[in-house]
Parts: sequence; structure tokens; C-alpha cells
Amino acid sequence: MRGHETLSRLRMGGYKPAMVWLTALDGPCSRATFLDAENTLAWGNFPEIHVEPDDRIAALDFRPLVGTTVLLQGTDRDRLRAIFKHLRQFAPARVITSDGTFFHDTEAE
Amino acid sequence: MSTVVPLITPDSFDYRAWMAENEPRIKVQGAETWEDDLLAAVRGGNEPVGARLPWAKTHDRIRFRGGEVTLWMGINGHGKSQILGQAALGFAAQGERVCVASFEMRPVSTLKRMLRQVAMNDRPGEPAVRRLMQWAKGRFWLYDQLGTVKPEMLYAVIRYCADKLKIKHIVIDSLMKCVRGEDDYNGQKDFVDSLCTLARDHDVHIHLVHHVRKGENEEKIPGKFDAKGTGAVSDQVDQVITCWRNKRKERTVEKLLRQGHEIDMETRDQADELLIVDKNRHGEWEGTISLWYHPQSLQYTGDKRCIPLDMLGTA
Repeated sequence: MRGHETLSRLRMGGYKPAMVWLTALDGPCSRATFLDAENTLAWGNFPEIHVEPDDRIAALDFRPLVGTTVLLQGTDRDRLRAIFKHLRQFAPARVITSDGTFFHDTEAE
Repeated sequence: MSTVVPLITPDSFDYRAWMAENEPRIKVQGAETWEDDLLAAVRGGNEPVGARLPWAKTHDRIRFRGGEVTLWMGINGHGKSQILGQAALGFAAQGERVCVASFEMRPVSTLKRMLRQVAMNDRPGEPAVRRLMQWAKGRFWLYDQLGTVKPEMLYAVIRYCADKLKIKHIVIDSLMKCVRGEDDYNGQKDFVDSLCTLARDHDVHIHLVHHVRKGENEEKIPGKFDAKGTGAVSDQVDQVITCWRNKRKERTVEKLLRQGHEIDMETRDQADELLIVDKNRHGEWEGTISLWYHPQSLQYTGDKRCIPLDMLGTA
């Protein structure tokens, strides 16, 4: 997983992002400067967290997402469901999930 | 009129308290969480993984994987840097990129030693230089900094090496050039702690050279508890290898030759160098590896026949 460390530092500093992109990738996280999830804030974009296929979902630290709106996306529906279930334990304000074929918004629940 | 959504806003939420309160949720997991990892480990059998040392007899015993730190320690002049230099050539020959950060030797001195190890003799010529340079391109890097270095600078170098150059092995020679002094125990502990974190986060293997305390004499083999400075250094790393040079044998050989005698078999069979693996956190084997020295090539060999290896062909 990449991106959570920058976000955690931001939260430690007393700031909150309006939204966070949480992406379940089909391949490994990029560490290239412009694609690395740890750098997105530095480029003036919304923060991102990238989850790799090999990451153990139960062990993912989503604490920096507390109270935020999370835009959860990916292509593997089962994995998205598992991430969504795990993410809810960390009290995000709202989760909007999509894999391109479905759309789910917790505000509509 | 468009609505502007601010990226970031000040937050009164006590995030630090939330982090602390929820620590167990992340860190305490049911054993089933690691089912896939355990299955993968079982499917792979007990085959060791990671980069190998140049000597075949070590391949089942010790390996160098990403995410770990190895401490190479020994008395001054006992071959730590030279052995590690040869090992680094071997890593590069296996396709794993290497960066050497030596604060005790200029890059050209490091390269001169590598050249002899590659050329397998003590007088390598220009063709050997060109062969080495052609081979090293895209495989081997050197950090040009002599003297001391600030830890923060080195951390940046490690990140750059891992992210941009895709380097897998970083040699740091030596620890004492990166901290304020032998008595800066907290500095040493923090430095090694940061190296372990960087190695894990960037999936690189860091080879850290370290000196040992002055013992009674050089014939006594030092152990991991003899490392200079704080004991936390060897506690934190994954592997500890002590390099020990058999000076007693050297003196015996010198004396025999001076007296015009031949070197007897018993003396000849003794190892010139021992690699003592004192700690091997992710492997079962701990013990001693005997090596023989080929002075012309500055190479260490795996048996007493002392035939230098073709380092560029080591795979």
C-alpha cells in the first residue's frame, strides 16, 4: 500500500482532506515521481492511497481515512467488497464505490 | 458560478488519540490473516531465496533478500570491505543492481580493487578496464562521498537508489562515518533503525560495514557482542557476519618461507579468512564459512585450491 504515510502525516498535523481516492490496483504500486500515491498531495491533487494485489486487506491501515469521503475504485468486485468491509471499521464519513459497472454511495444507504 | 472544494481544511479532530486508540485494530490480527503467505511459503518448500554469495557452499546457508539489513563487522584490515566488494560483484552478476557508498575509499580505489577481482590477476590492462566498465553499466553505482556523511543525506541516497535506479543492494561503508561518534549510542540506534525501515519500505538489502572493539589480540575471533558502540546495532539488523583474517597462518607461512622451508599441508589447509554468521534471522543456519585468499586477484575462494572465480560469469 502506498499513500497512507503522507496522509497520516497530514492528519497528524491537524488537517483533513475533503476527499481521498482509494484505488485497488491490478498491479504493483508505482514509485515513479508523478504516479506515486505518496506524492499526489505535493502535486496539488487530492490524496490517493493505492492498494496492491498482494496486500493483505485485513492488515491495511486505513486510520488516516477517518472522517473523510473515500472514493473507492478498482476492477475486482470481490476485492472491492473486502476493502469496503475493512474500511468501514475506520469510520470514514462517506464511501463512494465503483468498478465501472456499479456505483454505491453510503450516503444513500 | 462554480463551487470550489478546498483540498485540505484544518481539522479539530484529535487524530493522534484516534491513532493510538485504534492501534490494536491494525496490529492485532487473527492467524488466518497470514494464510496466503503461509501457503506460498509451503509451496516454495524450504528453498532459500535471495541473492547469493559468490561461493557455492554458502548458497543453502545464507542469502540476501530485499527488505533486510546485514551487518558486516570485523577488525580493521580483516577484509570486510574487500569481501563485501567481491560479494557485491556477485550480486550484480546475478542481475541485482548494486550501489556502493564507501566513505573510506574513493570511487576509483573501489573500482581498482574490483578490477583486479574481475581480471583475476594483479596487473589488469586496458582491455580489462573496458570489459569491466561495459559490464558495470546499468549494474553498478558508486556514491561519491569521502569522509563523514549526514544520515539524512544517506537516507535520500537510499531512496533515490531504490526508486529511480531500481537498485537492490546498497553497501554502506561504514557505520561510524554516518554517526557522530562511538559514544553516540542513540545516534547509532536511530541510524540503524532508519536503515531497517528504509530497507523494508523500499525492498532493498542494505549491507552495513561496522568495526569491532579492540580485543586482546587479532587472533581472537570477535563475535556479535564485540561490535563497536551500542549493542542495539546488532539487535536491529537481520543478519550479522563477522570477517576474520587468519593472521596466525600468515605469520607461520612467512616464517616458513623466510627459513627456506616448504609450507606444510596442515598450514596450507587452514582457511585464510573466516566468515562467521552470528545471526541469521530469516534462515536456520548459523556457523562459519572458510575462505582462501588469492592475493593477486584480491579474491576470496571457496576452497584451498585457491582458484579465482570469473566474477562476471557468477550467476
